[in-house]
Amino acid sequence: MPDTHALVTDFLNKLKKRKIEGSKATAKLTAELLRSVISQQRLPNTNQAGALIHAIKAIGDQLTAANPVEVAVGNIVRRVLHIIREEDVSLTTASIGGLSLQGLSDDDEDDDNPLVSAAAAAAAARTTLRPPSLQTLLEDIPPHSAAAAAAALHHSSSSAGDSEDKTKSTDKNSRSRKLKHNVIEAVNELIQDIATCHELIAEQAVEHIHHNEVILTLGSSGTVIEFLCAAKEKKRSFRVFVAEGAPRYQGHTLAKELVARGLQTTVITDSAVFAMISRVNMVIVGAHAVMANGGVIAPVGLNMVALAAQRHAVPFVVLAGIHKLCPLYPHNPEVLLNELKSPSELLDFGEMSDCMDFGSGTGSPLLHVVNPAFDYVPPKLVSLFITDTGGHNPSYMYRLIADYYSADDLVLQQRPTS
Amino acid sequence: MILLHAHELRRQFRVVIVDSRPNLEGQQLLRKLVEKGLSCTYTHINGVSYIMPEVTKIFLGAASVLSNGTVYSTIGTACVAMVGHAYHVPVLVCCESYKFHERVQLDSICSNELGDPNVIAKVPGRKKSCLDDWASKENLQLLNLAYDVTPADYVSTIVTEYGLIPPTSVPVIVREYGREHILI
Repeated sequence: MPDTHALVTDFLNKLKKRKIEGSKATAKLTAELLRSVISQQRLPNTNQAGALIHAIKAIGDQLTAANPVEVAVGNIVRRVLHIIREEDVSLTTASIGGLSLQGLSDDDEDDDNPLVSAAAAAAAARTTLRPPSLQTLLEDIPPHSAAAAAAALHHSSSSAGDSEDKTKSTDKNSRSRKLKHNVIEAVNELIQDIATCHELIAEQAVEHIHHNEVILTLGSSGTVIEFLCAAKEKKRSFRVFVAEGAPRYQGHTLAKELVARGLQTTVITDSAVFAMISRVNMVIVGAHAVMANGGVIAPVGLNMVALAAQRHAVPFVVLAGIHKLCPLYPHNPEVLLNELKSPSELLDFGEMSDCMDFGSGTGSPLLHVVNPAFDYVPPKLVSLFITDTGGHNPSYMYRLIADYYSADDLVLQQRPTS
Repeated sequence: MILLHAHELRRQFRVVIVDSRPNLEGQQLLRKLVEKGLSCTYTHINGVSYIMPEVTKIFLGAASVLSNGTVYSTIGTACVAMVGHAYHVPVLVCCESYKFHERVQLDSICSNELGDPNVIAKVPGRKKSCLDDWASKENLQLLNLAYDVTPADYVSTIVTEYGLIPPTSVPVIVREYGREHILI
């Protein structure tokens, strides 16, 4: 399949060169890429889900390595893996349901085997769907438990008799197509979800914004624009302060957009955030990613805003689509999940070059320019997350995340094959 | 001045200069310090949370220190002091005692100075900004505050010619200094 390979390398290059901006666009492209990969993947007769998961994991590994900072890629890969697992389990349980009924209606001696396998598969289904718990960790179930159960089912049914085996194999073929079909269907749904998450979040705007409120935001986020405009459409009149978000000045674009939609907007400098926050009722911002502990990777400067909001007891609300939820717990996120941009955004090279004595040869240059792209906002500074499924406390994020990802996929890196 | 003097004493240190729009005064300071051979790191006010774990001391200037201990200073000072406070970095305000004032102020809005709003619309290094025609738009305002107020609890100490004093001692200095002035 040279076609998917080319697609993957093309996407990898784009990620590496940081040509794709914004987690939403990245998430959408990743999901579409994985969809085409799944549709072109040739599946073996047995353990299809395992094969599919393996293939997706291999690609996911490459993708996350290409841009480790863009966690949306990893999130989508994990979501797709979770979808595959779920579809596989639902197919297995469905077929087992049919089989056990068949077994019961059959003669007595065969009665044992299907029941046992059904029990095994049901257990497997439970473990896969069950959120991570200490028990599952201790039980040490192999990662492809569902697939193993399917294999067990195959064995037991083969012992049942030849005639039944033939019907099983044809059944198997249709199942393979069905799995792929179901998975692609579910991935399409996921893409749809990513596209509509703005609207779902914006619908909740009226619940949070009241008349004559003053709202502060920083930088630019499509979700924030939609959110504020949704409140505006519901005839709420309020005022928005926009901190410009240097050095990228996305606040300017945001302000322009808001004014075009008829909102009262005031642009302030980033340094005036602390001065103005005492007059603000609510801070509403977008996020780059939301971690499992409820911490937020956000555009640079937001940690400062969050601290100021905490000082003045102003609610700090983060809007995040489901694709931004990352099931990982961050370690030293200020550094490890950050990216340093070009110094030229802060300082003109030509301007400072005259006082730099490059000839002194002391080894290290005197001047460093630091231009980080993201900030980490710890969970204690966040008052509320608004996602497509509603508002959530930071401490609840890990639970929300457990609904969307399977515990086996948290680590995407493949272990060296033994 | 403090930094240059310490450099002359051959102390080894590194300076992080946090700059903020719209005046970008940090660039002049940066130029001054680099010319003298100090090792400098330059960043924008938004990057202050990123750099703060590396910082061991914060030196701030002040336009005035009010008698409830708040520091009235160039915009952005309060942000830096706040982040420093959050990361448990001592905040030192360098201020001569003639800048002490008996007035009190609680927030930055009641008494402040407005700068030219046009400078906000202009982005250095970009020819065309998307806010160029801001004046023609009724709903759009640009607010360029010149000063802000740092609450006293963010300030560890104030460096004056009388020595290091806590912000709570400002009214004492104001009174004693004022009385001396009357006596003479």
